[in-house]
Parts: sequence; C-alpha cells; structure tokens
Amino acid sequence: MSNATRIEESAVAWCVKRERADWSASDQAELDAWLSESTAHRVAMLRMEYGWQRVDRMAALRSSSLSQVAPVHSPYQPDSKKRWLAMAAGFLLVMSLSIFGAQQWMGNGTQRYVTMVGGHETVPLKDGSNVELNTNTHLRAVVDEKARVVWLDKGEAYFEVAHDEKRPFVVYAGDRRIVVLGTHFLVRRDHDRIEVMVAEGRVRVEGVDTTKPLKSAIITPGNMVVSESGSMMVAMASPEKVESELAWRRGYLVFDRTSLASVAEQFNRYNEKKILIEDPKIIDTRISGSFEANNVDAFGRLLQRAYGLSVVDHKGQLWIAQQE
Amino acid sequence: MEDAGQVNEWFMREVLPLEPLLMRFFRRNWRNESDLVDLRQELYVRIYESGLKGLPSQTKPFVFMAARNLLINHVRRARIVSIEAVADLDAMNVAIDMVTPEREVTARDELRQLQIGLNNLPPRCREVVMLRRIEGLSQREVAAQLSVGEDTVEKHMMYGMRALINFMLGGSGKIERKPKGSRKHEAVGHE
Repeated sequence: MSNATRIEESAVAWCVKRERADWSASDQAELDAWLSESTAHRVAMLRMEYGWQRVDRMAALRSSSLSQVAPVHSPYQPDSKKRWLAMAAGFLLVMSLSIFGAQQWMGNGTQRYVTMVGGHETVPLKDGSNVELNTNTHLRAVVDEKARVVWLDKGEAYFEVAHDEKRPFVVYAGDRRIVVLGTHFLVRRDHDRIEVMVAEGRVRVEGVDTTKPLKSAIITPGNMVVSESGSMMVAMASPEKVESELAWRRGYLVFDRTSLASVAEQFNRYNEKKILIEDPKIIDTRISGSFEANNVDAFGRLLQRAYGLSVVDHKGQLWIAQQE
Repeated sequence: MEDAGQVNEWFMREVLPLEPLLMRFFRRNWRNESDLVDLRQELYVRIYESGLKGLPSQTKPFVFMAARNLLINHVRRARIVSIEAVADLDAMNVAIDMVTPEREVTARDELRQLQIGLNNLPPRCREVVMLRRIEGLSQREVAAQLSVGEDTVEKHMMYGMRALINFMLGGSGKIERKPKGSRKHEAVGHE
C-alpha cells in the first residue's frame, strides 16, 4: 500500500471518529497533533472533508428518492386523460393507490408535522418560512445551514417561503420535486397524484428520479401542474381558481359549477362524517357557492332544500340519493 | 505568509474542485495508474505549501503548471526513461492548454454520480452509508438496526465514505485493500 493511501485511510478514519457521540477535547487534541505532523496529513484531511461535505449536501437532496422502494411508473392510461380534463374544470380527486416505500425514518433535525382530519395549522420553520397545513396532512421538514427540504407525505400545504438564494427551498411530493425560486405556492398530494399551484412568484417542478429522462416545468400564477404516475401536465389556473383553491385557508370550500362527486370528495377530506352518493345519476349535479369546510350538515340541508335530494344521516354518514 | 485558515478555505474552494480534471491530466500523461494517488498527494502538498507563502492570483493555471513540473521531475528521477515518455512530456505544454474547461456540473449530475457511487459499494457497506448519511441515523442507531457492533459500523463507514468520496472526486471508486505488488517501481512503464 502506498504512503498516500495509508494517509487517506487515516484521514477518513478521523472523519468517522469525529462523529462519535463521545468525541472529546483530548480526541480533538490528538487530531490536531496528527494534522500538524505533516502537510500531507493536512491536505488529505481537507480533501476528505471536502468530499464528505459534498456527499452530505447531495444526500440531503436525495434522501426522499433514495429511500423509496421501486417507484411506481404505471403506463399511461387513456382514462387518466379524462380525469385530467375533469380536473381542469373543477377538481376531482380520484386516486389510484400506490404506496411509496418506507420513509418512516426520523433523521437528525427532522421535524414532523401532522394535522388530523378537519385540522388546519400554520407552522413557522426555522428559516422564517411558513407552512400552512390543511386537513389530514403529513409533512416532514429539515431546515439547517445547508438546505431547506420538505417532504409532503400526504395532504395539502401552502408555503410562504422566505427568500434565500443560497439555500433553495425544495419540496418533495411523491416522485416530484418542487424547487422554489422565492414564492407562495400550494402543493396537494394524494398518493401518487400531485398538484402544484402558485399564488405569487414561480417554482420549478421536476422528477425526483434523476436516472430517468426528466420533464420539468416552471410554473407561475396562471398555470398549475398536475402529475400522476410519472406523467406531468401543465394546465391553466386562473387567479380566481387559485383563490378558490386556497379558500381552505379561511376555512371555506368554494365551488363553481363543480360536480357533486367532486364536492363530496372535497367535504370528505375535511370531515370524519363522509358524504356517500348512492345514486350514480346525481353525481354530475353541478354545485356553486362557498361553504364552511367543517360544516357538512349545513351542506346536507342545502342539498335537501335547494336541490331536492334525499339526505339521510345514518351511522355517522350522509347518504345522498334522488327523492323517491 | 498567509493565514492557515485562509489557505484551507482556498484549497477547498478552488483547488479540490479541479480534481476530476487533474486526474484526467495525470492519466493521460502517466502510464502507471497505481502511482496516481501518490502523485496527487505530492502535488497537493506542494500546492498547499506554496499557498501558505502566498495565494496565486489564478488557481487553475497554477495547479496545472505545478502538475506538469511534478511529472517532469518524476521522469527525470526515473532510471529508465522511455522514448514515449519524453515525447509525451513535449506534448504536455499543449495538453495543459487543451485541458477542457469544466463542464458545468449541475446538482443533478452530482446526484446521479452519488447514486452510481452508492451502487458500486458492497451491499452491507452501502446500507450503513445510506442509514448514516442519507437517513441521518446515529452510529448507535445503525448498529442497533443492523444488529452489529458500533466498530463494525465505523469500519463500513470508513471504507464506504472513502470509496464514495474518491468516486465523487473523479477517481474509480474502487479501493485497493492490499498492496498490489512490485509495480510501483516502474515509474514510466509500458503496459
């Protein structure tokens, strides 16, 4: 073994030992002594530290995708196009199930935030950014001197990102990554379906898996990204639409000629008491107006009075059908 | 005389990022792969010590000139100098000018490289490195999860991080575990 190789081995050994929980002042003195023995020791140590930092920086960016077990890329299905069209009109949340692999780890400095069904919370991050979590949302964040990374495991969150050019703000949602270029924006995740909308500024949405050919999109107010099963589509989103999508921040749901099926989906996200539609003939009934997200009973009364539907409260669920 | 902290910072910020380019230069101009680690170390020592006396205004030309001088010295010291080596050295002035500018390395390239580097590690070693660096577990937690001693975790870390760093900095990512025999004396050998 060459002399240089031996020194390199010592340097990496120091790097590893230095991370021991019981690293002490006398250990440090020993390291300092080793470093002052020769310039060769010093440069080898600098080189290892440099490489170590690079690995860590990349690891921070990579952590979400690397811990995934075999991401799901189902082939393009014709009916998903139809779904997207429905999406562009109102917002229909029909999900295919794809469970991503274990992301249950809790790294050093990882903060976990959870809201229950019907919950709504604003949390400040260390860098001055704010994250507003909507109902039934699970989110993790690592904010340190090097990086600002958030994983949206499920649900929906609105981000107000503090400007910091040196630390891009990155949000992972399933197989998508949103790189923030300083802005206010919304990310919604339901299993492998991801939606991103921007209220202010712009963000870049890209694939997480860097071995795949990448599609990325920069979105600004006026458009949105819908991503599902490895495909990505950019759709129009008028300021009014973004505004109504964000109505949950004030505790409201806003609909504009939205199908009853979609409306039910929306209410069901916020309430344990679910709306169940018994009759397929009525799912296309169009609903407009704004409603308190947590008051499903009031919505039921409206369906009964204004739309002439039968609404039955049974075993904690609201059953909707046509009047006999 | 420069302050050591400043020289350290300069070395990490301006010299070390040149390593992939530098190793390509060495490989093109030096036959014996097993000398490269020693050549690199010798060069870094010279550059660092020269930096202590005063930082160069332009790091890159300085580094490559130093690399060239180092190779020339080595050839002079070697007892047998092949004709081919001499011809190569004449060509080296050209080679220095021709060293291609660094392609802009994006975070994406780096991520891909990290992935490949990780894939090259032995499975157990890769697992340890990923749990430690990527999932952020402590040494003790990794040891508990894999039911091994902390010293085993440390050994895997030493091997894995070294391979990964060498790979990320433009080496092969392979590590010689044992001395490779007598080849190191052929300073300018033929294949």
